[in-house]
Amino acid sequence: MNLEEWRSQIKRGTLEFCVLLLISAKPRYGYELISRLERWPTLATKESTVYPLLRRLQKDGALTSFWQDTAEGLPPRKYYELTDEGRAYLDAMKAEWAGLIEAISELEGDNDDE
Amino acid sequence: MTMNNFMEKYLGEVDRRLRRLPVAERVDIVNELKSEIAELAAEGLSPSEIEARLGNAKELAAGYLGDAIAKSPRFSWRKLGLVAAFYSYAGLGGIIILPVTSICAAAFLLCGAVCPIIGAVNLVCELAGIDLPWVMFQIGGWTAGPALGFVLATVTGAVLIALGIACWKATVAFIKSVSGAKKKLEG
Repeated sequence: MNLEEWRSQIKRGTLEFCVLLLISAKPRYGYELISRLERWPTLATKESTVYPLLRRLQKDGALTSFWQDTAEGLPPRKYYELTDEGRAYLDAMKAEWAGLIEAISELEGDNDDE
Repeated sequence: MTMNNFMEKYLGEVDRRLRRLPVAERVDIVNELKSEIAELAAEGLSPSEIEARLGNAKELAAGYLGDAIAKSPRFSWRKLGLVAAFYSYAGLGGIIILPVTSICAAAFLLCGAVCPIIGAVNLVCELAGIDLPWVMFQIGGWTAGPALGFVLATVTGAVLIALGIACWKATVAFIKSVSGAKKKLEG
């Protein structure tokens, strides 16, 4: 019984889904993704996890990237966007997720009946 | 330390630790991190706050390498070494450590359970006046009487059971450490 451990397992299992969801809305850069996820303690993830994950998703063909200069005079940012393959992967994940949510709420419903 | 000094030192260290990766990939990684550090600095974070956030250079580089060891199909001596070390450890364990600890665990537990039972049988027979010449508690040339023998047998039994449990725990710990190492190897 360890809530911390359970939470970190959820985080590990859903990070890829969260990152792809964020990128599906529009191209985003690493720091932007990390600060978005930071808004929720359950999702907050470190740089040393997010950046390698982005590289892996790119190598697997789910993402492409491009460098873009900033208006604020900061160094260029590396933006990631979904490939068609990545979008199909994300759609499949969404379906799985909906199935999981439904299964859990059915389990909760079962308990209420008893 | 000024921001520029910090950035140079920190990214230099990350770069050095990533030297196993192709140059192009390394440059890309370092530029991406540089972009985030500039972003954090623009928000007013000091070099030490930035380092606290990113983790030290070693930790950060390990994130990339951990992924690389598991995913990269390319050959590397480090990977070969890790795999060889793992299978030597697991193989040696399978041949020597696991059989010894698991057999000892079973033997100790069995003897530990039987010992006090025999002591009790001896004591009951003595009280009932039945002669059991081949059951006694003996240490060297000295033989304990049935009552003392029962106490000693019980103590011996407890010690044996404790040993059995310790061996069993060692068996479980070894299996856990092997499967932990395997997971690490697979990323």
